[in-house]
Amino acid sequence: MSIVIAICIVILAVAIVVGLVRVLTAKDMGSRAVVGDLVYFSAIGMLTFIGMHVSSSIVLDGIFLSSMVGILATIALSRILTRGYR
Amino acid sequence: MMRILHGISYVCYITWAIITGSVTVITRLFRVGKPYAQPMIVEVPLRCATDLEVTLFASSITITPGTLVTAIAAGTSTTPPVLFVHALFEDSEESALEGLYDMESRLLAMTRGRGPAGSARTAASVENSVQQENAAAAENAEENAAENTSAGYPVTEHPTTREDQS
Amino acid sequence: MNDVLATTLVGVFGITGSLIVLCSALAMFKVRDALSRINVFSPATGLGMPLIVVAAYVWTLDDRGFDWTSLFIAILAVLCLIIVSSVASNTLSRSSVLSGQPIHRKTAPNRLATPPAGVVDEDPDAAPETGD
Repeated sequence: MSIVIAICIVILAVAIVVGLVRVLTAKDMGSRAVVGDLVYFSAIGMLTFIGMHVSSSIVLDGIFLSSMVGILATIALSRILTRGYR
Repeated sequence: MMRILHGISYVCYITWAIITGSVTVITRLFRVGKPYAQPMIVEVPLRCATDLEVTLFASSITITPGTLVTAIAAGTSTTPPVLFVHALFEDSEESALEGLYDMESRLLAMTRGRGPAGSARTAASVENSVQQENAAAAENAEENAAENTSAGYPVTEHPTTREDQS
Repeated sequence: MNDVLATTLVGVFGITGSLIVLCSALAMFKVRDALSRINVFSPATGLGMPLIVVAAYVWTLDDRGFDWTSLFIAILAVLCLIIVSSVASNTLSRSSVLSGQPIHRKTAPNRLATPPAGVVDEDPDAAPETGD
């Protein structure tokens, strides 16, 4: 089980690194906002697998709450893009 | 009862669309020699009327990989609401519109209990009909204005103001 | 036997979901503008993250046995992921258009910029020749 969890964590970490390289090479702010979303969801996945590794009892609760709150980060980024207008 | 059946089939359809769209996004990564995508923004006049239908349809379009709602134009009493959809993997504008209208027919079958009767109007026909109605309305307004001035009544551009209601 | 089955299922769902997230991160290199990037990001939240939720539910099932509460939370998490990511993508794409992010020049019929064929584009709000 620990090998499987390690593989998943490594894949998600590679996804975050790829996204950060994309931030460095992208010119426009919209792409950077999308990459911020990608990093957020990859971090949720890594947190889930780390919780499975340490036999935490709130794995499902954690991923449920963070998936519900995930819209706030995106809406904040889009509000920043339009400089406060809706 | 039929609405529940239509709702179940619509959920299955959306799930299948998500899976096939994701497979398209991923398998296009490993095709060498061809361009990855053909982006386009198409205009979709809706047959949906209520806010619930428009919201459900916009969310269904966006959750399907490969199509994305970029802007929504609100409908008036003469024009339907219009979605501007960004599509990535379609061959032409007609095939993109065909897929979107298929999804809309299934959605309307869920919310109304039966499918829509008429076929969808194209963007050009909607624009033309709206322009004809506007021209007719303008002619009527001019005739009324001429009658009013000949009868000696003062012509008011905006007979009702809404400032006192706010 | 049961442990092996649970490990296999967690591996299949977890690794597939992680690979989908990674592939949609790689697909961001293939497309050229912000709208297409928002577009190719939806497999990650529509299919990748729900698969990770399923992996977490299978692990919980193996660890603590069947429970109606955990099943309810798992189903609710999948629904929340799909609905929330859809609404978030709508908001982000709308603000990215409104704030004037550049759109790729090969976007072939761009109906936000050009009207369809056969339409005379008149501005109904255009003021008549009165001057102010």
